[in-house]
Amino acid sequence: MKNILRPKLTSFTILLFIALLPCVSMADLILVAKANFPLDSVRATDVSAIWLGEKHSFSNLSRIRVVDLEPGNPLYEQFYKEIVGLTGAPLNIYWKKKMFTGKSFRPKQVRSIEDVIRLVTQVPGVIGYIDSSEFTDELKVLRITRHRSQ
Amino acid sequence: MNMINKTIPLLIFLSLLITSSCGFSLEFSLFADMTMTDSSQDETNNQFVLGEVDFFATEELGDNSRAFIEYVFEQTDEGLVTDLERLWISREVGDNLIVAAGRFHTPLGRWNRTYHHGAFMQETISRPFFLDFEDGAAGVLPVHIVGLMALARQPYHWGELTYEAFVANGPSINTDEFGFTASADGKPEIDINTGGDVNNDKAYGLRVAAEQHDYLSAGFFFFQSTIAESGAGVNSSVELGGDLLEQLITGLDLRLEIGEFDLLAEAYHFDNDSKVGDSKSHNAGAYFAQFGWAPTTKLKIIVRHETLDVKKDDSYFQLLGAGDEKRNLLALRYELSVSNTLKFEFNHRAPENRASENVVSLQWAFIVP
Repeated sequence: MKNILRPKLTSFTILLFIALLPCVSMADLILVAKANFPLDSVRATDVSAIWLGEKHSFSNLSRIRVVDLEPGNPLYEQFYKEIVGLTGAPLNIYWKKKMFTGKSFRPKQVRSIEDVIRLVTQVPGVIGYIDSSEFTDELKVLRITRHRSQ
Repeated sequence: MNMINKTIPLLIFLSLLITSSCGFSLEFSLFADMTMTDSSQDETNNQFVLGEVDFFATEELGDNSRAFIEYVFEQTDEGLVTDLERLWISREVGDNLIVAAGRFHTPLGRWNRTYHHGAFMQETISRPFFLDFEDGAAGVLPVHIVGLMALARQPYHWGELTYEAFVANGPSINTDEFGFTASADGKPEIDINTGGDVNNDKAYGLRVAAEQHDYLSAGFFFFQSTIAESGAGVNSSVELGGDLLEQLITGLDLRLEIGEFDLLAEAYHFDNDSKVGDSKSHNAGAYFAQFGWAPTTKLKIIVRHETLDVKKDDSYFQLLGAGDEKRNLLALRYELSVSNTLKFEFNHRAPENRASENVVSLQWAFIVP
């Protein structure tokens, strides 16, 4: 009986694994601004500094505001791990200390990518990150470089 | 009456905590510490001291408005004292300008606006002594203000210029109890008049700083005020609200970080123009310079020199019981984790008119985010 079931179980497990594969893989995260944003690429260090409230503009010197997804969202976790370089408790305490000085405050958080796109397209100077599959013509992808921004 | 004054803020604070737990979105964090100290002076006991418990919260009230509150609970000889240290509301006006109203820390230098009351935040256990709070033993500066504040920043390719300008209730001093010269019985404190001003003279000031991220910051600041009598004037012959002295405080601050080394220095100049007694003008100065070296990510070694240099017949410092003094300290800070730290400090205090003293302190400070 066990021998009869084993090939079926094995096939089922493989199919289940394949079906769940897109769910566990990393999303294709892109940094976006409104379509008429003047820059095409930005330095990763500048993105990190802006998200951590240490800088408030890119090389064009116009004021930048950022929008976050909520903690727990896979895109949020991926962005902070790969781009900002600070996650979890250290990130939380970083912001508590920063807010205590009264000079910088945590980025606005929204629940969905639709909310990110709405703010990016409607409020001047707002940038955010989304899954590339959600890209629309109203947006522009900001290429993240390890060198000087253009 | 005194009991009521202490109880009402406590009740307000507890109600805030209760409303936050009932779904209102104000979320408090706290700083706290436990310190052990020992002094070379025979009359001073070695002791454990429960430090200030500092609750703070901030919340966005709309797209452009924000509120901030900071409450400190402190155990004193008079029992548990609660102080509303900061409370303000701000609004962004345009891209680079914020206007705010409330109670703030005065933009005098960098230390006062960065560390506030957070023991965990500051690298050493002690503040530079002349930056002590108004109700502290060595307070000679109005480190809080109540009024309006404007914060602006101008970005440049090298960094940004920041401006912090304010107009606030002028400070006052009550000379009724201790007279015009502080004694062993005590001294008056600088009253920043949180509940209302004693006259129409307002304090105003500005700090302008050039900043390159957190690595380099150089600032200039001034604070202009008329210090008023807030008592009946039985000793000063000046009635309530009358002028005791005109004061202009100017200064420079510098912060520099290069690799594992950093420097923080601030210099203050006092121009006190007395309006009572001999009506003389006096100058005074104060500065500190602090060097830090972080050989590892967890350990930091800090040395600091502090100096206050005043004229003996300067009525402002006579009132506050302050005289020439120098302090040198060596401190160690070890990060146990991102949320708690152990600090050690050896502080040599050399006041001109008292015996010198060595104070050793050990502190365990933490944040509950």
